[in-house]
Amino acid sequence: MAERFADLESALQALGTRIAVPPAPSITPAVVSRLETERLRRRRPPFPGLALWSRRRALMVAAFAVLAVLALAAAARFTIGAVQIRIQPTPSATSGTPPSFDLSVLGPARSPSDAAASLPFRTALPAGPRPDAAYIVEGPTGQRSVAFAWLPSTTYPRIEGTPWGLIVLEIPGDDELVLKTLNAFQDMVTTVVQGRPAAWIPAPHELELRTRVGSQTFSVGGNVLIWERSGVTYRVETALGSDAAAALAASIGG
Amino acid sequence: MIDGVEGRPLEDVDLIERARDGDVRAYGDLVERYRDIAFRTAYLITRSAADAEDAAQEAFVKAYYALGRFRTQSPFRPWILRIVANEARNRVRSAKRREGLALRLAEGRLSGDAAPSPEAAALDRERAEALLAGLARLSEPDRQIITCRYLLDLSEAETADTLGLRTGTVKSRLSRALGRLRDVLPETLGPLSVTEVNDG
Repeated sequence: MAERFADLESALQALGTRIAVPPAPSITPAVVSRLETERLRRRRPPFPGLALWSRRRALMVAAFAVLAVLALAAAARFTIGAVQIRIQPTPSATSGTPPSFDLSVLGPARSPSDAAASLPFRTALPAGPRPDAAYIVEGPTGQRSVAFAWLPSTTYPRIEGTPWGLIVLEIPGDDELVLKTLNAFQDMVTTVVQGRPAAWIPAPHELELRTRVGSQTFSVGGNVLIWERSGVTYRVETALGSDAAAALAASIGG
Repeated sequence: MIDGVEGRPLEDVDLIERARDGDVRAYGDLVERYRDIAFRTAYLITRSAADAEDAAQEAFVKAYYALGRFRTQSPFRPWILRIVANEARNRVRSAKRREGLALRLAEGRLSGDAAPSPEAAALDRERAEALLAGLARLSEPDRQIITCRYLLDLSEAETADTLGLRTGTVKSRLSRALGRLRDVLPETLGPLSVTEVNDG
């Protein structure tokens, strides 16, 4: 540029560092969600009666729903990987409302990379922001699981009753580490995540965590999505709705 | 990133290859890598946080479907910024009233900056405000080329890619835009040189 503008150019470059620009919003989950949704839509066969589901997904959900109902009729409980879900219309025998799910009972927070490195299985994270903390959970038989946690943000609004915006619990094996107690079967919706049967629980419920040092019961105020894939059970707790949670879940592990 | 918390971050080209194969999560990592500069670019063009967010999001979605046309030997940044700038300019064109939207100076120290650069410190508030006011009086094309080249600190080649121009055209248009900016700045403003201050 001509010498006559040298001062103006320098001043404009300096100005660029002084303009107030709002923090960049976390658009990654929204972009991924849109792309995943579009990919599913393109795969969908044009059957009017199955407007929202592919035939395969709908059949799988129907079969899973039937099994769930049969399981309920038999024992009012069924299992997804390491999570057992129990329907109990009356409150539990414990007096009062249990405390909110508090990750700090699991021990000190660790860096997500340190936690992942200490585990005997390969962890997976959703697309988007990195977790802010991780907690190791040691089950009754010594198996180690992990809970990744994200602080609240515009992407992950605060989960009621917790200081977190997103919690992803990853449990290897099928030793029952978590027992969930719902008030009614209607509190749970059967769905599919990554081609696997899943449970979407958009209602407050109780969670019993079985660790090496005993069991503790908590109340859960967030929405929860549970599924099992390749021997690992995933439990996502979020304030997001079902579509956003499904997109987030679909992005875990690629 | 894509290989889990233990993995080394992948290069852009690896993420692009995976995204081309339908790996949306890999593309999510690429979005995460460039969302800051994409949003900043869109914001400086639209002067609206909401429009900038929409433009950046739309640009990344469109870019995903255009990955087949991306030349992997080229840098990804100017390519995505070109799409972002197009989306942002579309919003500027389609909005009926933008008079109330203006860039403003940050109060105090900028977040993420350990300390202001010597150039930033040397440009006093009065001159910075005058420059902003002058920019606001320019036409959109003049403002956009100055924004890309100086406010975003893109190279001439990146500015050309971002705005879809040839490098020679960028040079000539910048020269004219700077001349017009000089014309609208108040004569009472005095010298804008920041190098004299740095030398002192």
